[in-house]
Amino acid sequence: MRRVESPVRKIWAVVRREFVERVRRRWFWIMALVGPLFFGAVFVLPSVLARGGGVRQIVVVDATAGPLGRRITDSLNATRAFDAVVVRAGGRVLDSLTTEVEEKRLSGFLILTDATVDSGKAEYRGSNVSGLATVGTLRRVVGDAVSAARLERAGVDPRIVAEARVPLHLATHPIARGGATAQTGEQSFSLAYFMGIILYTAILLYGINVMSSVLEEKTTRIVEVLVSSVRPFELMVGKVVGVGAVSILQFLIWGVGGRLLLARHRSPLAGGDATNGEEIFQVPHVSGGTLAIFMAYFLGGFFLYSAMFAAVGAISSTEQEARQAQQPVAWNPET
Amino acid sequence: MTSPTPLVLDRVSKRFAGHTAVDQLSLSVPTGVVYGLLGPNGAGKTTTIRMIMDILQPDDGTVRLFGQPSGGRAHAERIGYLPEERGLYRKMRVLDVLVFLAEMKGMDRRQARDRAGEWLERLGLAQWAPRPIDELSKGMQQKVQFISTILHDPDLVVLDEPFSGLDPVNTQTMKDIVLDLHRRGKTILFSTHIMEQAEKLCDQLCIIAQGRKLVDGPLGEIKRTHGGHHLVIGFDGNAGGAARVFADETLVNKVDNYGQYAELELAPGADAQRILSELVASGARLSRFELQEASLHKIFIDLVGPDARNAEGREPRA
Repeated sequence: MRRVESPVRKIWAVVRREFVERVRRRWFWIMALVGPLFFGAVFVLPSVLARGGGVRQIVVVDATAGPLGRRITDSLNATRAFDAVVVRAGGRVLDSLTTEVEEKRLSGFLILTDATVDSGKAEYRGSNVSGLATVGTLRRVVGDAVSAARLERAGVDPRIVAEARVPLHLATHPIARGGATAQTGEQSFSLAYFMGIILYTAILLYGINVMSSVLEEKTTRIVEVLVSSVRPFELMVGKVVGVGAVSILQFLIWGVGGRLLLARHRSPLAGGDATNGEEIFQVPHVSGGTLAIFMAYFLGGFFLYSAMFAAVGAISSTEQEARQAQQPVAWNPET
Repeated sequence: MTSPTPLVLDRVSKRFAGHTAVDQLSLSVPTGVVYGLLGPNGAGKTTTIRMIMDILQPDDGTVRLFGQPSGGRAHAERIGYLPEERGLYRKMRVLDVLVFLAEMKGMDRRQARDRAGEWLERLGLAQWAPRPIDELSKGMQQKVQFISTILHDPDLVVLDEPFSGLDPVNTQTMKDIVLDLHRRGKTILFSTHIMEQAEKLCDQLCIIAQGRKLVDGPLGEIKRTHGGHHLVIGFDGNAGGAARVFADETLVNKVDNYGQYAELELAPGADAQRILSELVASGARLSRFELQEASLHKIFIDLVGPDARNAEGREPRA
């Protein structure tokens, strides 16, 4: 009988078993399909929430002696995030506006007084004041108008003020291969953020897979047959490499799937303060070097954490025990 | 040139937290025999087997396999091992499990696949080959595990309590396979606390209790040495003065007297013919007078004592 006695062949057999058995499972394919949706949600949701929805109907209640209310209203309308009208303060205006807001016919109203120019104090009352982008735009527009009013009051020519208020667009581009790339700083940050989330999730997910695999062999008692045939170290190497290969296949599916999707729908994803036409997020270009570094970080992290998770599996007798014992590893601050 | 002895244990000991599970155990399993490792529950059989298989390391002593001072892992391709606590990957397909475990024993993948198919066919499981393990009944899973033990055609087969939990049909199937392996010159070491099985299957055996060897050697020799002589006597209506004869300690060591039927253990050096003549002289009418060897069960009970009774109370009759 032909016999193969090399330990490498045994490790390879373990790798193949771990790989094939996982890829055959329904959960692998569910994850391949649902994973990108999950990561996309984690990535896009915060900016969508920060934007806080569509155009806001607001009223500017002007109690100032000058044209501040009108100017701010014009500036707000120019952002296209607001549909603003100005009314003079007086009578029961605030009460009626409050009723309008409560009955959802109005998003809110901005109250301007002479104190706004003097001390920089203004007030916005609305149904939702948690939209960071909305509040940020309001603050910027009112701040600019107040600055202009103060400068005019100090005798500065309004034309000079208008020229001085040209908005600054700071373009940030990382330098690579001796020159600036077309990628913006926001895109670089988005890429790093996105990769960080994928690394953390994948390392955790597949590390726990290694732990489950160790635990399965213990609870089904098959480990006794295995360790009488192969060294425990070889078994662990096969297991870690096999599960790691599954996760790399998962990345490949996501990567190729993402590429195909983007090739079909070339339009960039717009986000952030899109009201003034700025495009703060576009799918960034991922270079080969970045991919290599990503894979190096992934493999290093995966080997480290899967070995720790394997140790957790080895010291636990049941799933319940393992779930408790894994917590120091899963919530390790280095993760 | 003779092949080296498949298995030799030389004064092997294993201790766990102050408890000595195996104590200075030595034994030798020659080529081509069915060797029984017998003992009550907790005697140290499984610990001994785990040391042989390299799952545990002995604290003292050496394990030699095929002439080399190394445990089972170094000879995985020549050893088949069926552990007492059995289990398989529940979600894996039957054929894939068998191929994988054969690969762990160093077998070529394609050959493993062919042989697994043959064995599944032989044990009536061919149609289950593509099904996951957890769809099989417990008995079928045990058969699959047994196939995985011998699929790579090992020279030494180590079976830890191989018949426990099996129904009579599956027990007979396993026994047939063990005997077939024996006929093909394979060496078989199996542990059990069921004496009837050991008596039917073993050429040689070793009885251990509390981690220590009590006796080892060929079955016949052990029976001759430790079994003593037993008499079975039947009376034809009249026992005469048999009770007086049985009370003679120079003749009888132990007696189970049922009135019309009695089992005697002869005293050392006692002559059965003298008992016969004294019974006839006492007026007893005999319908049966038969000299018998002691059963392994009896020898085991006598050697091991209360531990064995405890074990026997749990065992099914084979």
